[in-house]
Amino acid sequence: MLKVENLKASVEGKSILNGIDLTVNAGEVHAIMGPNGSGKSTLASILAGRESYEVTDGSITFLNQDLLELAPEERAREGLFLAFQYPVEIPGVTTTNFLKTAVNQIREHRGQEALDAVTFLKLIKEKMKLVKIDDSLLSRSLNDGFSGGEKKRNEIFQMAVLEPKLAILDETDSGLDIDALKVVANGVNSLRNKDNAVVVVTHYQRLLDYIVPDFVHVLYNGKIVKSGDKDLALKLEAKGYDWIRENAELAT
Amino acid sequence: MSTTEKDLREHFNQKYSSFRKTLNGSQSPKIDELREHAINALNQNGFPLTRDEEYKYTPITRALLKSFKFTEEHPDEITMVPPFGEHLISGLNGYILVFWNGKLVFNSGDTPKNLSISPLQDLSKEQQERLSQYLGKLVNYQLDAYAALNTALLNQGSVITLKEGTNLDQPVVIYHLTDASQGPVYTQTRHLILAEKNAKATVIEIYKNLSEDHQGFQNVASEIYLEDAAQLDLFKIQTDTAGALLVDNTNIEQKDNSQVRCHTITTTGDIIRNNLNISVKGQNCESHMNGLYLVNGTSLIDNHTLVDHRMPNSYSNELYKGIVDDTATGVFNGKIYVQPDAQKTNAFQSNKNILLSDKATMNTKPQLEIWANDVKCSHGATTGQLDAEQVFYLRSRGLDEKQATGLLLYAFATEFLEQVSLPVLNEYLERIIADRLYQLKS
Ligand SMILES: Nc1ncnc2c1ncn2[C@@H]1O[C@H](COP(=O)(O)OP(=O)(O)OP(=O)(O)O)[C@@H](O)[C@H]1O
Ligand SMILES: [Mg+2]
Repeated sequence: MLKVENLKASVEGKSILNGIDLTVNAGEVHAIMGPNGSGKSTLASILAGRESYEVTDGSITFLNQDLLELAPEERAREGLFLAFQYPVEIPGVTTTNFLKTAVNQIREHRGQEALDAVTFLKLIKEKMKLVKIDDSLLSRSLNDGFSGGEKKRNEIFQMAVLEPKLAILDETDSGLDIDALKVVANGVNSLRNKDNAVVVVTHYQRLLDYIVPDFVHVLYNGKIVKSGDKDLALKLEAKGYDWIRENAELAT
Repeated sequence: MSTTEKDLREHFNQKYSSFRKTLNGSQSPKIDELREHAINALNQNGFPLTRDEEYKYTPITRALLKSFKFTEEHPDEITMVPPFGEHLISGLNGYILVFWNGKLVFNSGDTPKNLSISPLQDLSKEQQERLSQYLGKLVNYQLDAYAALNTALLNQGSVITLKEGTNLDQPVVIYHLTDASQGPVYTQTRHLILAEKNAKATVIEIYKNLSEDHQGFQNVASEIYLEDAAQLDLFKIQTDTAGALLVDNTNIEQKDNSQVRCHTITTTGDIIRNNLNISVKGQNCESHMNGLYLVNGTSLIDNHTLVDHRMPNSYSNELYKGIVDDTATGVFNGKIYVQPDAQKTNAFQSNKNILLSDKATMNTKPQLEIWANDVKCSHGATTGQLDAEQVFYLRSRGLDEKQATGLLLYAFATEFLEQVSLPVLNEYLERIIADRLYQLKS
């Protein structure tokens, strides 16, 4: 589904990603861990199409297409979704407000008919239940005055509505209380099937108890320096990143 | 030979003399005297050119000189009432006055007894005498030459009185229609609104320029007095004003516990200058100034506002927003004065602008002058592009760039409507804003 090869990227001349290789197949869950500033969000942003990063080398294919050639909205319509680490506030625009356009753009792209207002509302209601999000949140300006947890839950709600093929969750667990964490994990799990895939960026093993990964990768200094199964996350939780750092430094 | 500012003054002096002759002793000496003071002020100060600080960015006098070959000026006698029905906003019911090139051509009349609407030109000498304590007392003809001109030629207009305790069931709607299809015209109207104690009403002024081929110059001035606890919602709708040259002077005086909410929306016009002056002469007053301008092409929209806090414990809040495209220009000058006696004043001001092209210009100047020490005042002005993060967020959800920017501009502009409570008007303006944004983006 997704194949990242030797991806190098920089911002304002500063190199941040230094050759990333990552393959995600349908049906898989990947976890990306790594210390602060190692480049996790940068990778996620580049996948979603943020233009402020310059890709200096490498390639990304998504569903057999050159992802880097696609505009952000084309990526979304192809089925890529990013739950932002820091979702932006948009005064005057409510979630329901833009989500209807989003859903119908994606449907049009898939050759499906646009949803009418009633059907859309039904869809919204159903997904609201799934992620236990409140009506009032959806009719407020997007993220404007939302608590940290509310912002994250709103991201997952959008994911549930848009039903992406590849969902990238950038620290969606940060700032969530334990109940909210379960709700989010539950939301993700109920959307999983053999045709889609999830990449979770996280600092904590905790989330991975609920969303069990098939692969765990450690990103360090803009490179994936170690990959393994879910036990790697447990090991990181127990030992921290120092041993990874040492190994990585030995390797260079 | 091109017309000069002096020619312009001479032209209006002639107009003034012939106008005086037509009055033929029908006027109260006090009003006559007011006119005389005003023409003298105009002659002394001259029409404002861009070297005048207050008109630095707004060459409306130059535009007037250029487009008016005065010999061709269309005679302003209206012998037959033109059909104006199509220019009224459908569904907007109320007590309606229609001015066509400065002449009152329609007055829906039939007002309840707590409301009186009199044509200014029909006042008896005695009525004039009585109103002379209001007329010309707020409009500052020393400071603004267009206000002076309007005062010198003061004739057509309205006197609207809201009796004590009135809660008006329908708005008063005033249409200012300018038709320059027969040649350039100078048109003016003058309004006096007296809201007595506890009166509550909505007044809607609608400015329209009906032909774009020649230029119509509209000069409108109003004086509005709010007595104790009076409440007024005042709208200025300048959305069918393509090609217009327009100066509006609105002066409001507030007494204790009164509230005024002014809403000014401008979407078209060659050069439009709005002077909104509020003098807070009472305690516990509220003054709201809500503005929106959406301009493109070569339009210039200039909003000058002043709120003068003269008494303690009052609150003023101003939010002006603008979207400027192409080579259009926006001007915002917001003055807040807090006089020594006006302790415990809360005064807030914000001006937010989005430029859609790199040739669009916004000149914004907040001017706070505070002589009291125990006050809360703040101001802020921003001018920039749409937030790239917000655009990216929406695109990452599948909206294309046009949809994303459209949605963001719409959200930005429609904050104006949050304070527009009259449903017909809210819907009307929402449609206008949506259409306008559609034009701006394409
Ligand atoms: N726009 C930018 N300008 C300058 N530096 C940037 C920019 N974006 C990212 N960086 C830098 O790139 C590095 C990687 O940042 P990134 O946000 O990808 O880290 P991260 O792994 O997501 O960290 P965290 O765990 O704290 O979220 C950091 O050093 C960051 O300061
Ligand atoms: Mg991050």
